Amino acid sequence: MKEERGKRVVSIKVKLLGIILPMVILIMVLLVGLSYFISRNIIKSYSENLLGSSIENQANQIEAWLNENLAAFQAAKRAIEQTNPQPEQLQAILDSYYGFNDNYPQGLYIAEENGNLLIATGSEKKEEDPLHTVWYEEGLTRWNMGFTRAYTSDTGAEVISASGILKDDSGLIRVISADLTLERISIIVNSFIEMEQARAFLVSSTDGVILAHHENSLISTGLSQSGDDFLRTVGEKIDGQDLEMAEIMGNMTAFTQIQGTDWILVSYIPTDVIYADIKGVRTLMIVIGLVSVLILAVLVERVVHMVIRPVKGLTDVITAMTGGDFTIQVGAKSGDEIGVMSRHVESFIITMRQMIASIHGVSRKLNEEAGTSNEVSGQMYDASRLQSQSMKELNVTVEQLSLSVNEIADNATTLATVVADTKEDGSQVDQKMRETVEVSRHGKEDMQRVSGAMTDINTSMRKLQQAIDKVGQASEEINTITGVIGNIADQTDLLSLNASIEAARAGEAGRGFAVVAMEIGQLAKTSAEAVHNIEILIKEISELVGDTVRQTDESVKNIEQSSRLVGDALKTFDTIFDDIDGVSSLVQEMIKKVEQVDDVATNMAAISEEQAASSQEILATSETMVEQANHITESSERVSEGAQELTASAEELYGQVARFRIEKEAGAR
Amino acid sequence: MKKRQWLKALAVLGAFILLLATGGCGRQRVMGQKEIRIFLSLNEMDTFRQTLVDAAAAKAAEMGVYLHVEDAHGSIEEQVEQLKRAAAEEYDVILCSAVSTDTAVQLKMSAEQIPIVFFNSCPDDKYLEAGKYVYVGSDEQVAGQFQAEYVLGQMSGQQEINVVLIKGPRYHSATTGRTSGVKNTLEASGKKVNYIFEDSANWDTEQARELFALFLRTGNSADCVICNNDAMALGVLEAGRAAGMDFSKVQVLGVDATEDGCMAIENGEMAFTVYQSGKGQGEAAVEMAVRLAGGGDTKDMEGISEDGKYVWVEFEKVDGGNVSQYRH
Repeated sequence: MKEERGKRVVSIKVKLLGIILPMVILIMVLLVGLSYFISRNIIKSYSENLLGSSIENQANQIEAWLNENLAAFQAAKRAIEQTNPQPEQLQAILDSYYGFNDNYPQGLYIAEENGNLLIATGSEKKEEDPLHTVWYEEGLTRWNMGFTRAYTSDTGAEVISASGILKDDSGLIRVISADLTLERISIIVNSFIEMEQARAFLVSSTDGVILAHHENSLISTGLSQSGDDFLRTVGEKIDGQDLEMAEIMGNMTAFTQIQGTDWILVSYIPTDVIYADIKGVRTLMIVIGLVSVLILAVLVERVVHMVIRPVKGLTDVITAMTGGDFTIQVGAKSGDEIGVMSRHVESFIITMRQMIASIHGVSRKLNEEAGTSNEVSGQMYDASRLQSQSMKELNVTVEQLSLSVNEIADNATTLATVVADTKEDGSQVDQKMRETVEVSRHGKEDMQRVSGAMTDINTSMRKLQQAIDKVGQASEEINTITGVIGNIADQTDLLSLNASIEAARAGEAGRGFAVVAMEIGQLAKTSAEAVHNIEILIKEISELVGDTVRQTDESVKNIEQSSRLVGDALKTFDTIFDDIDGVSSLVQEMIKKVEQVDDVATNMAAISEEQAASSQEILATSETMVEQANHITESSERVSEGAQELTASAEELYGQVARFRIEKEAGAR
Repeated sequence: MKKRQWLKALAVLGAFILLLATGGCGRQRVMGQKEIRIFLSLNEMDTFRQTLVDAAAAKAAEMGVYLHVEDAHGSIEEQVEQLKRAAAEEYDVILCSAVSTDTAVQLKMSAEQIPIVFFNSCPDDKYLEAGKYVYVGSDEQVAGQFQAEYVLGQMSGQQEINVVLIKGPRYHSATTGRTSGVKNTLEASGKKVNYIFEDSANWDTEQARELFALFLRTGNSADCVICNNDAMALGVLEAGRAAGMDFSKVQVLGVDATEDGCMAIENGEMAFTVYQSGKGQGEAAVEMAVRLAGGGDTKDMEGISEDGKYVWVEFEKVDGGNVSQYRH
């Protein structure tokens, strides 16, 4: 309670009054202002109407008054004009009007164009030069009598005259006139004012001279020369032919023309006068407003006091409750909202009592448990610190693992590259191999052809041998033949010798013969020589053939040997070819294998890259884990702190709860 | 083909309606439920008002409205009676030239809620109300102004002008309007103006003659004689003629451009007059009446004053140069 005092407790009563009163005052002010404004306007327009009709009536009355007088003059004038009186009669008429009406005490008077002035017997009127008077000059401009401008008469009075030409049979121009004093006109003007406190004055619009005014000193003076601002402004307005009602220098001013004259009646009333009533009303309203506000203030204060009295009791209860005292009893039992509130507070207190009691128990338990939890949290902190440590180590390992995996990946990539190269080389080898196989095949075919040729050669050799053999046989036969021929030649030679001996015997006859026989002998000798040569040749041929046969035999032998060798070579070639073919197949297979290896190596490289990536992730994860482990450590540190705080709080709670008094006798706690 | 027949039928119908409209004046027509009915109450018939009423009737026919004319023969009672009847028979608008403008309030009362267009004589400003009680006429001040302008034009060389003013009845609105028009315009010229004679002859030729004869006896000499109407100007001419006056030296001016006035101008005796367009007033009065009957807008009416209470029909200047146009 004392603490709250420091915070400036503002009671509901003050608050309510603080809100209601200013509002009421504001509304009052607005109402008063508005009504004042409206009333002011109403009164203003009302006053304008009043002033308007006042001046209208005033003007009418002045007009009537003027006309009445003018009519009287006009009647007299008519009478004179129609009766054409003799001078004595005219004098009698003028005398009869003298003093007849106090509006024109001097009565009627006449000036003749020859300067004669006819006046009533008793009249003091005395004009030196009647022809140059205002009334004469102006009267000369009309037959029907009309009013002149204001002037000072010979008697020294400020007057206006009604004058006109008197049309009689005198043969002279005569002007008849009568004077009305401005003083009298002023009295008339002022006595016809209908509106209270309004003032009026009459002005001639032609020269701006004041004809009538309640201040006699102003009569006959010009508006424009006036020292008074109001009169000057009025003068300006009349000069401008502006006859609208207007507010001039704090006066509501109306203008109206007096019919049949050039006079303007000005009527005015100070606006203060107009608003005096409304000011009274305003004051009254303010007073009423103030009184109402006071009454309302008292009323509100009382009502609020009555209404919030139970609240005060309740406030005490609540204050006690705030102080921890739940042993207090709620007294108020009213039927309104506050009563309901009190009842609820009471049940609240009961509930609170039970609750606090249970909280008391719970807080004790909580205190104990907080201790335990503090310990546990300490252990948890240690464990988590360990975990964090392990985690860090794990991280290092993972980092190494990652490095290794990276290396593997690099190696795998290199391997893949190498294998790819190898595959390339293998392909080239294969190519070469194929070429070699091709060459071998050609070789083999060539060998086969050689073998064929060898066989042919062998066959040819054999045929040659046979042919040579046949040549040998033929040589022998030739030899035989040549022997025969030799024999023949020998016999022939002998015969020729015999024939030559006989032809030598036969002497001359026999000489011819002897020559033939000699010739034959010669032939036989040549044949014998030829045969002999053939024999030699054949011998040589036979020798040569024998050589050839030998050589042929040797060749055959050689060829056969070669043929055998070629056959062997062919066989060898086949073997080589087969071998090369086999190698080629092997190479191809090897290439396939290499391709497989390549695929595997490529896969491996990819996999090891993935592995590397994964290991990076693992690394990252393990770093996060380290961080988390750190966080856990920090958290567990905080948990530990929290647990400590909890312990502290539990202890405090225990202490706090202990403050609530729920049993009267337990108040000592 | 069919369309043409339609058009023909329409044209015949149109011509028929036109015929009805022009020939149907003075007769109450049954056609059209919303036909506007106008009651015209005349103070007293004269030549000028005859022109006005004729123009009004022609205009009504042209606009397709019904116009009923009655003459009050100068009787206030009869006029009031007429207006009461107009109200009873639920006419839409009343056109009224008041026998006396002082009776405006009584006239308005008799007409009940029917709008009234006053013409020829103007009631006091306070009895008029825009959109309800309006006056159609010519601004009398302008007539006086035209007279004064003519005089100033003729006597531009003189610094001092002697003026004789022969006025209408003392309280007649035309008298005050025309007179103030003359006086204000002359005053505004800055010249010295002497009103050496100023009196009322009540529109009357004989009275004017007598007055002017009387003035001549005073021995003063006038530069011009400005009369509020032509009738009085004719009286002035008579008196002047009798006195052997030279009208080329003394300008005599009137207002109205009456037949006699125009003749006097042709003779060279009278100098100037102002024509008040009876035709223009009659037409404007009917146009205004139709607008009031329709509850319509009068703001764009030609010649309407700012406060909406008056419709001014232009005066026309008549002198030796154009008088022939105004002879009948």
